Amino acid sequence: MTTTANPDTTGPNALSALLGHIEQVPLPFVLKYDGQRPTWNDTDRHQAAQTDTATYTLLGLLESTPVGQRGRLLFESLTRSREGQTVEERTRQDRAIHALLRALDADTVLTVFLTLRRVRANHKHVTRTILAYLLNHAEAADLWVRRRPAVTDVLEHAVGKNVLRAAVRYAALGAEAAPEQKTYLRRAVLRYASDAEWATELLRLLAISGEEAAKATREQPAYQTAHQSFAEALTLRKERPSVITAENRGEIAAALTALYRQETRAGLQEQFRKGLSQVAEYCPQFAGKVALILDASASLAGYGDRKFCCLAQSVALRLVLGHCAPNLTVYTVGTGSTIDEAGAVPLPGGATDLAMALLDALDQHPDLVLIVSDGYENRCTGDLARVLATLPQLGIQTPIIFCHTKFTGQDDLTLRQPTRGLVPEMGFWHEADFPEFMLRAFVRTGQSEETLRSFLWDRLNTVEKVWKS
Amino acid sequence: MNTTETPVENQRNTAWKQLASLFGPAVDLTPYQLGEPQQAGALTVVPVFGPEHKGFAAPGEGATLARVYTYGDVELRNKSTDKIAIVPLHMGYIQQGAQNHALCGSALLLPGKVQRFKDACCVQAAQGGLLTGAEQWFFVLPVELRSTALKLQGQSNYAKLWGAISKLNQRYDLPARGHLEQILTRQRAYLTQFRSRFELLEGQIGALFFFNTRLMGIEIAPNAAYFADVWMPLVCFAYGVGAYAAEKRQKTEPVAQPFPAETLSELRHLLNESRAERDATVDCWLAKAVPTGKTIYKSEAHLKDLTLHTVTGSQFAGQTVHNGNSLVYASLFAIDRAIK
Repeated sequence: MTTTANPDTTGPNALSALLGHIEQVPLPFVLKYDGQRPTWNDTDRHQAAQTDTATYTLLGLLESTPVGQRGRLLFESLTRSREGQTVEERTRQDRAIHALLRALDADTVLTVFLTLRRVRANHKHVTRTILAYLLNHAEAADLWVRRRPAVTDVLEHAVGKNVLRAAVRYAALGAEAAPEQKTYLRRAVLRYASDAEWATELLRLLAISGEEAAKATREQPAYQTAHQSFAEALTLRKERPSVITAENRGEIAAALTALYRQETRAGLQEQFRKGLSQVAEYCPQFAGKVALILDASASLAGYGDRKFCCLAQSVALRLVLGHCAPNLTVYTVGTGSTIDEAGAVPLPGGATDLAMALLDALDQHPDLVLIVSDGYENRCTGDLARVLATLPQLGIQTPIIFCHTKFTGQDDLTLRQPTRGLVPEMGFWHEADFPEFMLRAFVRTGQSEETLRSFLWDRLNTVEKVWKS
Repeated sequence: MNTTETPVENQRNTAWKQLASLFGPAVDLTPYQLGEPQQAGALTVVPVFGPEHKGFAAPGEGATLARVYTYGDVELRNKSTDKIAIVPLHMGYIQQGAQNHALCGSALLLPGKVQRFKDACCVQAAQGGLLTGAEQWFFVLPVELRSTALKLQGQSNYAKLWGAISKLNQRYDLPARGHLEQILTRQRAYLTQFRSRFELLEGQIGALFFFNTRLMGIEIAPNAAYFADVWMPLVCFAYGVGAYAAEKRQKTEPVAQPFPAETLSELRHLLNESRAERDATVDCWLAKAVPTGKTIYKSEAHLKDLTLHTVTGSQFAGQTVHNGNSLVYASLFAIDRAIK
């Protein structure tokens, strides 16, 4: 999913504003070798959004949040002091951090821990988080051997250099360690481990040379992929095909494309119903008035292997939106003829007149306008942009979003931007894009913060259930 | 199409009828109506609606490449068993790894029959291999080459268009070689978007093509199915190439000017007014295109009641097919931007 031209806001909608911002900063989370504290030019945005640090951390669970930004969210939430927080708030915060740690790759997490060391973040929750992560990682041995210097550095930061050295020495003694040494080891390090015996083995890896320890590891690094099964639970996207076809763009669109192409296949209706209910369950709810301008002009028919695919995905969005935003009005651009009696599945035809449909929609005073189109405006090109440019002088502040229906996530949109940057643009090509697409659309209305909080905590509850199972 | 004509549409159709002399001495364009203009970038398309002539195969079926005897010598087959084929003027075939060919003229084919074209042109100078009739896609020559190609009808020299192609490439800042694929295939991703940038409307049997303010081509097909088949080669390649070049020259997109409105209803009113003005502007472009000077019609072939003519005028040239005084097919193009 792509978003551009997000408004810059801080204050009561700071969390929503940050949501729009972080997607546009796809830089990796890095720590320079210069020994200096890291600096960012968007620190104020992050700080403004941390009135509820736990929810702020959960932004990292969104599929569209770049990995670098997930690292940043983790870093910021760990750096923040918990002084004055209630037990309940601390528990929520730990839950959110724990979820983010599971979904992040270990290399990024180590960079975050090293950055915490650089900025000398010495909170107790930092110590606890570092030790719990390193001692309980699913591929801890591989991680400790392959990233030994980094692991040593962050452990030294967490417990102190001398304490770590003592702990490693006592762990190396094994059964010969004195009772007080064992007690020291447990209090200093092992109490954070779910398996103390295994954790002692890990510490012993630091007692032997790096070369010797490396002999025990496999050829392929395993720690780098240990998070993947957890990360997959964050999205509806079950496959990442190298070649996109009409069949692998989601269940709903696949069934609708088959309907448009008049293909008769067993189980189509079942596929459609199952896909629709599954996606709708993942999507945020919105009680406000939504106007959907659905471009069903002739160009949406497409051609060749892509025939009807983009229109099918637009219609899939329209149907899911109908479940999530009951107060939905659809303005179809095209000939107006439909396949179904209910009029929900339009037949492509006619020219693209988006400007007049926008005026029709605005006449009804909606809370949000979504223009879903392939972006090829040809009936009086430029009219949509002129109308959009006029709205501010009419005092119309209704959030309007131009939504590209695409065949793949990589479609070239150069000739498909009729709003000329006057309103935010978003895109989707797969039904797995819908939940976060809708979230980003809904948070632009006055009801943004509550919608966002509710969605993020629902997402956490869902993934925690999946992870447990 | 909306059948209720507005005054603007009347004005447009009046200008349209004044172009009748281009199509033949006694052609009546009254059955043909123009629709609302569509515009994308430098190209404006005015759809044409009109009579459906049954019994004509679409080119995909009626003008298939059957055989290539040698360079510049190809054979087409009408695969239809019951329909006559009109080969689109300046139709060409592209195939990976083989010499791409284009035809210099149109032709009429009976159902199931083949016709040999010894005056075809190779459009890819340094490429060996012959087209095999499989995995090809067809195009129509860019409008800048069409006048030259039409004049070369009947000449058996497969290299005869290389010079013009080379000059066309130069015009578009490409290496001066007789390789049309430098434009057609390398820019295919851009050019094929013209198919989506314009909407082919239900019942549309033709179109007028304008580059900025100039009428560059008039295409009329026997029926909507035929036109749907040639729509992509026309909009993407015959006229899309010139439009692409014009868009490349225009570096910046114009800033959207707000309407001087204070309410939504005012905005709607002003939007409608602006559209009417824009449509009227297109009508002016059309009125300016009415040809002056003498037009020569040369009969090229007959098939049953059909006659294929070559039209040569001071501003436009091309070919038409008539059934008596009734127009069946036309492909006319402006010659002022032609490569000499």
